Amino acid sequence: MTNLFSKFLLKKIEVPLWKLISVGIFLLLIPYFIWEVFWYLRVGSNAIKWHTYLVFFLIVGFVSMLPFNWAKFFRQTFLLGLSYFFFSMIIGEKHPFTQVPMYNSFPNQIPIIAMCNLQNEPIPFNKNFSISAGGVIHKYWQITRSVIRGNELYDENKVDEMAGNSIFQELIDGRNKNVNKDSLKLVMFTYSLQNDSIYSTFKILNGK
Amino acid sequence: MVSNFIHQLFYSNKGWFCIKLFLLLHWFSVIAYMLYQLNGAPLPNGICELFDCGLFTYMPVKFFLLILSVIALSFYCVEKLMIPSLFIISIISFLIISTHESNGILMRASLFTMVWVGQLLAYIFYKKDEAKLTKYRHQFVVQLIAATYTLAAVSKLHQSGFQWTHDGANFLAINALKGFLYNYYDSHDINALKEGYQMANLLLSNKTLVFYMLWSALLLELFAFIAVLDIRITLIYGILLFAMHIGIEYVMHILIAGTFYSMIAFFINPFGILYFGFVALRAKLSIHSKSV
Repeated sequence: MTNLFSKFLLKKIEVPLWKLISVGIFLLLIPYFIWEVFWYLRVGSNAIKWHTYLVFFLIVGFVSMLPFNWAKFFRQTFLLGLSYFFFSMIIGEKHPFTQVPMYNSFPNQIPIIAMCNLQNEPIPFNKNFSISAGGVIHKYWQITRSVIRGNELYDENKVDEMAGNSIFQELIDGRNKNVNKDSLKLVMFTYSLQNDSIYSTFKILNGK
Repeated sequence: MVSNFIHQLFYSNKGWFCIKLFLLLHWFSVIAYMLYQLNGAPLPNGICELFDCGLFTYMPVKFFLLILSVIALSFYCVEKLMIPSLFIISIISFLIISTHESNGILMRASLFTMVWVGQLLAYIFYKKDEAKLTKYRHQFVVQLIAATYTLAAVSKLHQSGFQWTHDGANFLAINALKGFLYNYYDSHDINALKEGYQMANLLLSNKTLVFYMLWSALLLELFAFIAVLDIRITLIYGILLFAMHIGIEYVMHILIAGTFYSMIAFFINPFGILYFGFVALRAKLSIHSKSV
């Protein structure tokens, strides 16, 4: 009787390491999943943070390392692309990672920035300035984003003025010397769509 | 026969040479242009947040990087010292594009660095296995390109949801006008302005068609990862994505060079199609002339 009991107690159980880790991960995931669902119900897609992607990536990475043929196929066929996908989602717009945000929404108004003379007539960027119209608007977005980031009490006009000063100076420095700098001003034209018709307004960012 | 053609296109040494040639020509022209444009890094981004990338705007440094990339590309082209060459090209690409993006003008050229990283990883992992290397030096890069397209779709769904296609049908016209307006403000060419308004009116009068075209583009991007499964799917997907890019270029005057040329090189291999097409045509003509 004692022998049988000790035999039962001391029975050797062999469990592969990957199964133990799988069980451990599964147990850890339950509270994480509940926590994520709780926040998703409260704040919607804002609940999806960098750690959400990281946890998902770690699960996918672990599953692809399992000792099965399908896992090997998955690892060789998708793992590199998936890694790039998840790191891009976590890191964002820092080269060489990107979330490819171009045209992920269609705003109803588009701004164009141009150098104009005193009569508000735009001066062509080609041959007169070192940056193109597309480059100028990229600079405008980058500057305004860097000013606005983490600053919820910003004044839109002041941000525009700050960006306008910076871009104006860069354009002046890199201008063709035949262009008279005293007669220049930086103007933002905004085109918008109302009832299928296109309208434009303008606002002086810098200059006279 | 078609399968054999596609296999040669992506996995033969000559096909691989054609891919490399197409890629290096476009990469080098973009990098040389970026180096020419670099004049500072006033808005640090990526690696330039950690140290001053202004160093790469000095003429001697630019010249050194250009010479170094020519040497590395030469070795890469003749398939010698692949790991060091790919490593050097990856680093140069990473530094120059990061510095350029720190200038405030985003050229969206992420893939122009990742295509080298993908090849480098394949050469590191499979340097002793020729058969696997032949497959994975191509397939690793296809994975990265496919991931970028899927990211583009996920970004749209994350930002706008399925409303993206609906918003697009209503407001694509004004967003398409933007590309033409850039041309107008750059050159003062009144035709650019006229073309822009014509395109905007065309889009406004065909909203239903625009809606379905946007749905097609979204699904094409979202399921881009299936292009990794088989090289025949890769080629078909490449042609579909090529059509999508041409459509975007026609409607919006936008061509994202880093993504477009990388995709063309690895999904379609146009130099390879020309070469193998010419070889096949020559063989057919010689058989025909013999039979006559």
